[in-house]
Amino acid sequence: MEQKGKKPKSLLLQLSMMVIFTCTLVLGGFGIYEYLTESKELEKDLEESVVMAADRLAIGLRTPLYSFYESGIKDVVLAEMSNPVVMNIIVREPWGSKLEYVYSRSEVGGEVMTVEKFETKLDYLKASQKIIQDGEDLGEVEILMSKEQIKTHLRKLIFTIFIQILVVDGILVTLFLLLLFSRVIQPITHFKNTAKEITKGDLEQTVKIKSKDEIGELAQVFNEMVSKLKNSYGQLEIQVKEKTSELQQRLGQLSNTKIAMMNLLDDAKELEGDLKKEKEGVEKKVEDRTKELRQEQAKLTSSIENLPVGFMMINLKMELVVFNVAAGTILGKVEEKNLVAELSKILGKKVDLNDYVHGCGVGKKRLMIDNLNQGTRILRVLLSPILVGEEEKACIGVVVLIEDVTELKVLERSRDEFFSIASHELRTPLTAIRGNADMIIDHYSDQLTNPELKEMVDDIYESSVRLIDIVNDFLNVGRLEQGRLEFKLESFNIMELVDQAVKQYQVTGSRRKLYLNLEKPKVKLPLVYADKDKVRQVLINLIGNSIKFTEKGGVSVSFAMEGNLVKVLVSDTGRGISIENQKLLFHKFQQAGSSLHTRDATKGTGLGLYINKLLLEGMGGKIGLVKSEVDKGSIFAFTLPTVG
Amino acid sequence: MSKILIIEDDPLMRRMYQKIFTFEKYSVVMAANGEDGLVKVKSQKPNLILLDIMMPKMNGLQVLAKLKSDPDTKKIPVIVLTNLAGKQDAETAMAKGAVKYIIKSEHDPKAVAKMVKQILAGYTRDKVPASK
Repeated sequence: MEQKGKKPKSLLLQLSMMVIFTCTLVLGGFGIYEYLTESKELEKDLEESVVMAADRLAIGLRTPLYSFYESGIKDVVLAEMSNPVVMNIIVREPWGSKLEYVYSRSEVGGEVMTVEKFETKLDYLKASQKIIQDGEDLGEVEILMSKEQIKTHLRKLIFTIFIQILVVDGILVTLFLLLLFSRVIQPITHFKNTAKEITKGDLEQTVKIKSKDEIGELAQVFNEMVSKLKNSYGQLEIQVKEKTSELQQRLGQLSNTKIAMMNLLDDAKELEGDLKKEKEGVEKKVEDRTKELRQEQAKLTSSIENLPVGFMMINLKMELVVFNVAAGTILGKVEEKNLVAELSKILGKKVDLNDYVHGCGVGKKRLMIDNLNQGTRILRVLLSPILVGEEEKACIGVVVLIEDVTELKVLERSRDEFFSIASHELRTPLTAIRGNADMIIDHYSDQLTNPELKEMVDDIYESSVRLIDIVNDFLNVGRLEQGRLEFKLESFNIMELVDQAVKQYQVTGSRRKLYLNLEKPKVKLPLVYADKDKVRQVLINLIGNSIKFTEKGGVSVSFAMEGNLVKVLVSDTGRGISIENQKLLFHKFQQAGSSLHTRDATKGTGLGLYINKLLLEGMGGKIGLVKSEVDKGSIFAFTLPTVG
Repeated sequence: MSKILIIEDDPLMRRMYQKIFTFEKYSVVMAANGEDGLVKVKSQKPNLILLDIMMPKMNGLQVLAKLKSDPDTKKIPVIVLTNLAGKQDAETAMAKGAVKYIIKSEHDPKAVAKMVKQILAGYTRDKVPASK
């Protein structure tokens, strides 16, 4: 019922207004009808009365007019004028004479007088009648009657109707209101009050209306509702009570928990304090470690930076990650951004840098590329993949070392040239010495009657032979080390070769009365696959060594099979080699048991075993000391591959 | 008596070879350089030539080429003398018609004389020198 922003209108007022409006409309309708009928009737009556008055006047005026009896006219007129409605009466003589009797009533006071002409403001009705006497026209009479009286009457009528409506409205409204009040308003008010009481919580209240109309039904339903509400409320209250007690229990628990939490928090605070201390300790440690790491990094960086070798690190995207100044300098004063491209260019066709980096080292192998030309200089580049993680599976890039080896190469070349030239130049005069000494011994021995002279010539010959051997050793080592010595591999009978060598020695090495035996194998040896000349060289060297270091007893050569390999053993009964000296064997310039000052000058360069080792390795064989005992002798052995 | 021409610039070697061949009863003619050698070939008509490769003025290979292009001299057997470093040149010489090469430091004069003897024997036996 409540409308926003408007005062609530009383239902009573609204209904009253409606009743008044309806009654007024109905009664008003009737009133208007009555008024219209009345006014028509009155007008009709007036019209009739004016015509009748004109007729009457015409009859009454015949005589006075006929005899021109003026006062008689007047009397007739005045008689007629006694009717207050009559305003004017005009009597005219016939034939157009100007004679006219005009009687007019004053509008104020109603006094009748004769006037020349009359004027009236009032609404009126008019009638005229000819005055005829025995067929003689005596004139004409005109009468005017005022409508004022009708109007006055109608005004009274309107007033009456208005009063009627008012009275009827009043009665009806009163009756309606009485009914409404007793039958509707009162019960509703009762409802309202009861509802108010219920709202306040008094659920015992009921509506006490027993009528059998809609209101009565409403009351019944309302009471039922209230009683249901009462039940629900009761249950609700029980539930609320239960909940409340539950909540209280919970609250108790919560409060306990809270206390526990507080305790915990206190503990936590303590713990936090400890942690903080520990954290500070760790932070300090981290700081220290960081500092150390920085120092390490600085060391590393400066090491890389100060390397005389160009250093570059390239990631898998072919981007330069780290590099040093030397890299730029060695590659020819190249700018940073062009370093990788320049390196790629220098490597050229030897190694595709792009492929190497993307293949991450192609099989993850290091690669050394030598003799790269950069203008007038020679560079050596080392590529190495950077492998990380477990079992070094992941490759993150490639490290590049670039070395300017120009001077090294020049040095190497000069060394080689020196060796070569020195050796060759030495050999020619040595050959002349040896040849001439040999020829003297051969062709002029009869003239060498003086044994001293003969010995001197013999020594010249021996010296030249030894010198040539030394020079040959130097040349051979150089060639073997540089891989420039060619091996002419063929299959041959090793027994025959050893036999020949032994026979050769029996001629030259028999001065000390040593024996030199060849122990023939019990089984037939397979053919070996090697370079005959080189095997002979090794054999002669080994036998020579044995003879050199043996004072009594002798040397024997024997054979054995070792898997697919043929093994040749050279045993002697010489001075033997001590254990500490044994490990020095087979190394360059190492003569067992000798320093540079104490070495036995008659025993060669110390290159023999080293050359043997290189030679045998070149042929797929091996050489080693089988065993040696001081003062009892040594056994050397070498192996050779067999055919097939 | 066979006549041997030794074309060798080193007098030490030259004299050594001269001695051994004299001992071995050969007639020996010597030349100290390639040009001289070519002149002596024409004038002396040797049975065999020992030709050193490393020589000033005209080297052994050039001399060999001249000898082999001349119908008068192309049938004379030529043994090339060389040192260890000249092995490559020696093999080139073999390809150009030399009958043998000798590395000087590896053979005694005796051995050289023996080789010469064998080669001359072969030539006398076959009459037609196999200039290869």
